[in-house]
Amino acid sequence: MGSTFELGARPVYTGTHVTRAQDDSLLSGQGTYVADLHRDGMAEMAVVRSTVAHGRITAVRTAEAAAVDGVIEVITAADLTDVSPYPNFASAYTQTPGTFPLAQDKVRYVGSPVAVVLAEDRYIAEDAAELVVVDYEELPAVISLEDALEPDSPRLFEDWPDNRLLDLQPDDSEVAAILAGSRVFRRRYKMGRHTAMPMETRACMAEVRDDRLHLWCTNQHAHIARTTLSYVLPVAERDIRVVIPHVGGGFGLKQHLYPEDVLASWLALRHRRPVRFVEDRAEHMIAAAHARDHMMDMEAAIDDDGRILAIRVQVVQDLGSAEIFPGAWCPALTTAAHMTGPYDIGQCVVSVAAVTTNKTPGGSYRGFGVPEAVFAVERFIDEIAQEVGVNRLDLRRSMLLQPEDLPYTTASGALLDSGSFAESFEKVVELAEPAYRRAEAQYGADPQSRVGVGYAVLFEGVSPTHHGASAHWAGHESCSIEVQPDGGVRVASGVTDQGQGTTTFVATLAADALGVPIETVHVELADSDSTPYGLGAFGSRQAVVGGGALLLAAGEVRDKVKKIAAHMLEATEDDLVIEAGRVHVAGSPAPAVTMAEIATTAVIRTIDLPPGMEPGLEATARYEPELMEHVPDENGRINPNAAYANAAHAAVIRVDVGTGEIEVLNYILAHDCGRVINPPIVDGQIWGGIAQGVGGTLYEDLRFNDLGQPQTAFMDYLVPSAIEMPEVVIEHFESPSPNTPLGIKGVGEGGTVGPAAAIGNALAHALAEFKPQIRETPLSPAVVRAMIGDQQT
Amino acid sequence: MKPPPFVYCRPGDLAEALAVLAEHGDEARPLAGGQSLVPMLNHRLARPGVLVDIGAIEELQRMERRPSDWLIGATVTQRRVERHRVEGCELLRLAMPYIGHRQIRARGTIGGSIAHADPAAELPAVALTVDATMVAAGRDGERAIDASSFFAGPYMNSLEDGEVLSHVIFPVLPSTTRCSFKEFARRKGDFAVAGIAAAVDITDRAVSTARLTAFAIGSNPVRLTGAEEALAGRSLDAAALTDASEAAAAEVEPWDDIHGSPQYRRQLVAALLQRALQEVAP
Ligand SMILES: Cc1cc2nc3c(=O)[nH]c(=O)nc-3n(C[C@H](O)[C@H](O)[C@H](O)COP(=O)(O)OP(=O)(O)OC[C@H]3O[C@@H](n4cnc5c(N)ncnc54)[C@H](O)[C@@H]3O)c2cc1C
Repeated sequence: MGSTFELGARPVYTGTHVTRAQDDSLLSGQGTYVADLHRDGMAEMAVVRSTVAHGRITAVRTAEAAAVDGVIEVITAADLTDVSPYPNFASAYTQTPGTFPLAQDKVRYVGSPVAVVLAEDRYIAEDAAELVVVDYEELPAVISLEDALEPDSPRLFEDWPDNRLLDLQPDDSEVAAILAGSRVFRRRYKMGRHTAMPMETRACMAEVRDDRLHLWCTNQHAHIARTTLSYVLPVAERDIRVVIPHVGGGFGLKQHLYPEDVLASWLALRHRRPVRFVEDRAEHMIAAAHARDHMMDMEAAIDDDGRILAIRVQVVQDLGSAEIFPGAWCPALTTAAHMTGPYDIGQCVVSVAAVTTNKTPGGSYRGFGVPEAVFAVERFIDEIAQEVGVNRLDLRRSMLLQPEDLPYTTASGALLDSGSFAESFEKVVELAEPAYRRAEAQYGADPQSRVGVGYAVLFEGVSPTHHGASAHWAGHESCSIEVQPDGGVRVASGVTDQGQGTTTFVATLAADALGVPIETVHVELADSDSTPYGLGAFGSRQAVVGGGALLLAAGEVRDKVKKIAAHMLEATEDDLVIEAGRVHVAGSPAPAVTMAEIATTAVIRTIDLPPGMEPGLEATARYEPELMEHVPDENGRINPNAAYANAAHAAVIRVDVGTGEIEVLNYILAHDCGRVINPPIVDGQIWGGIAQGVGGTLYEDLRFNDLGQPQTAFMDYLVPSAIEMPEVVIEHFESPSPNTPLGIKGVGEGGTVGPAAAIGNALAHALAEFKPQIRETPLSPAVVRAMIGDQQT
Repeated sequence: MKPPPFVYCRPGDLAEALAVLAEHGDEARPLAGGQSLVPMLNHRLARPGVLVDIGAIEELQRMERRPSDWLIGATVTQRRVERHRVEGCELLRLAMPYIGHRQIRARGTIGGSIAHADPAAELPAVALTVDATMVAAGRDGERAIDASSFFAGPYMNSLEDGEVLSHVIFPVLPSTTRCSFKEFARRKGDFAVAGIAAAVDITDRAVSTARLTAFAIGSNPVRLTGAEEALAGRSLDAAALTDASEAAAAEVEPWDDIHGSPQYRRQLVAALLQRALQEVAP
């Protein structure tokens, strides 16, 4: 199979700094986002949201709102008689929340949509939304995951036996036997709730044209969104078009097809006028997916040197109300799949529960269960080293996978076919130790400062199956390539661009695979009418799977180009090379035929084609990674990813013992995503990921009080700015995967997954004299200050 | 996050502004830099029917050094004060960079910040520390209000309906007074979690008067009278600093929010006061 994934004979763009296709328009304010779309007669929506965390709706009074000048209609769940609940394809192993676009009988989180005001503009819609009165019979709220697990806890869904949406208890007898006969080390770790804060909030604009529904939206998947709309709305899939214009950041949060997308579509169909919804930041804080909120209970059998012989883990994810599509339990499964880290730990068993609470539904966010696992595993190893009295670096060295161990299948089934686990770790140690000594020299004499260095080593499944989240879609991507008569190339793919450079990698690979100048490639993405069915953006998959589909299609086109050129040049196909849009015999640049001449022959002057050849110069291909598994085996083992990237992280920090503030001085990261297509884009992904990782570790915290009222407004949701960012050093390793196209692995999440662990370990190092317990994030100044106590400052 | 409907007017002089305010009573609200009021409108936390933009009124834009004080008009922007040296008003100069971000200071005004009386704002703390005088203008003329009685609770001042703050008088402190301004905020530019403003007069190596204020820990900034007394007549040695910090931590009654418990804020007050006093120590 490998040989079909080829760049042309002379690749010139791949691996170089190709300027991002959209930089100029996006950076100069010329982008077109959903909020920039205007239509004659366009109406706008405001959503009336639940103000209580848990309650039965006894009445929704809309008359006063409906009477406001400029209000078109006010709707509630009762109006949506022809709408179906979101499907649950995982009902064999999960409970079904029966999510409906508007709350039917109950509300289960503050922010839950209860009614919609459609008005001439958003100002009027908000004025009227205030006049909608909802009566609730309030119910006791379930706030924390611990509460949700209590046997006598109130239930969010009365027809479930408890609050567990998912509860997987694999047979742990083998590990239990090892634990019973060994020294056992136990710890509980938790990662707090935070989420993506893209510059552009969620938005959509629905309109009916030629009797078809057109939805312009910020969703990360044109086709999955189209199909899902067809499940929920009474509209045939052929009559739906989903278009994703410029998007100001997705980060996983825009993977879900939210109620507002359905509601705007329904209203546009009903009123036959364009309807727009642009989420404001206050709504974003409570109604866009939250993330993380995991607990990991770890037990390990260790030997005298601290080496882990076997590990048993219980992962619990707090789903919030779980009223989201696709469902949000998959991060817990992903955490489970990463609990061995890149270590030779032969025995690992993980049970997984995902529970509902009266909070905003959890969902996808960059990292998707991996930051949680890395935090738990890497803190655990540091704590074992401390307990046993061995060096934390040596303990890692004694367990890390070495080059000769590869390929290696982890205890949970992940196939690590390549990587630089030990090498990247040593590189980071080599760079971080001097940085730490510099920090010591600078702050050692300051009684108010403590400095520390912490490490994390990790592998990260990339390019996952969608099946874990949806139990429906799997893992393929698709691509169509057409060479037009003037030699220009149109590439249409199912991948999508949220600003991360997808368009650029598609153009880069297409230009190299076809041997044409990149300027002659036009990339078409994210329009379900003009691109083949694909799964879009999630899990750092697009370069791997989208790249694979593209290379397959390009290979077919390239073969045909050569056949036609051979005929025109009266040469042998195998002697030909394609280069800069021209085909000639290798070693003699003339005579040559141009791509324009070949394509003109293929689609216009078809009488000049070789006898019997079909007209046309185009191909559509689909790629589904062969080794990726979608369903676990009877022991719960699965290889759910097409590839595994790896990295080592180190953080050097200074702690102000007076205020408890952590300043990350240096962040050093050695990363391996296999073959690199565009180095600055890879660096950009890592930088952004580190910022989000630092944010979730130190600053960002979505809190709720005892009544389930959200406590974190945007003003208090502390997204780090450039000032809070450390000095970053990025080192690259390239261990191409033998199993992916060109050896590419994904890079979208690599920076995000390590900071909690590296900073947590650095804090333990810095504050060693205070014997802190660092088992939870976020590590806010107040939390850190409490670790220091009043002993000495 | 769209404001409810309002009428907007932009009078050209103070008399006209006062007339409009009088006409509409508590329905009307002055608009200065809009850096606090506009977000409140968007969140529908404030819903005045009439917004009286006082930005075009020249009388409110004065900035004058007088023999023993600075007179700063209410709509002088924070950035203008920051760029000016305001010689003799060291504490004011030190505090300015802590107010939000430069873009915010470019629009936010001195009077707006003081009138808004945000518990975590820097300028009310400065005003209280140096005993500034707020001058209110109403239809019946002007009246002076001491800093100690101007702030009337969180986001509350003691202006009457129909009055505007016209200017603030910041006394010039003696050259023997040394100032320090310390605050702890989660990110650069955020509102403080706790802060200290200090103006300490030192003669013959001993403290003659110490004016110490803690802010962002409760409804309004508070003078740390216990700590001030602990320092009186002493040299700023380690023992004095510890005594003052302990007195401060004991006397404040901080509130609780998502950035810190009362206990944490006490620790911050102590740590920041230590640092402020270290800075002013000769
Ligand atoms: C992101 C951000 C960060 C910020 N950070 C800080 C910070 O760290 N510290 C800080 O102190 N502030 C901060 N602010 C607030 C900012 O400093 C405002 O400028 C200030 O609080 C209000 O000044 P203004 O001129 O914008 O007043 P406006 O917003 O126009 O008015 C505020 C209030 O005062 C009233 N008012 C205004 N002028 C008068 C007057 N002359 N007489 C009577 N009433 C009047 C208004 O009616 C209104 O009620 C921040 C703001 C933002 C947006």
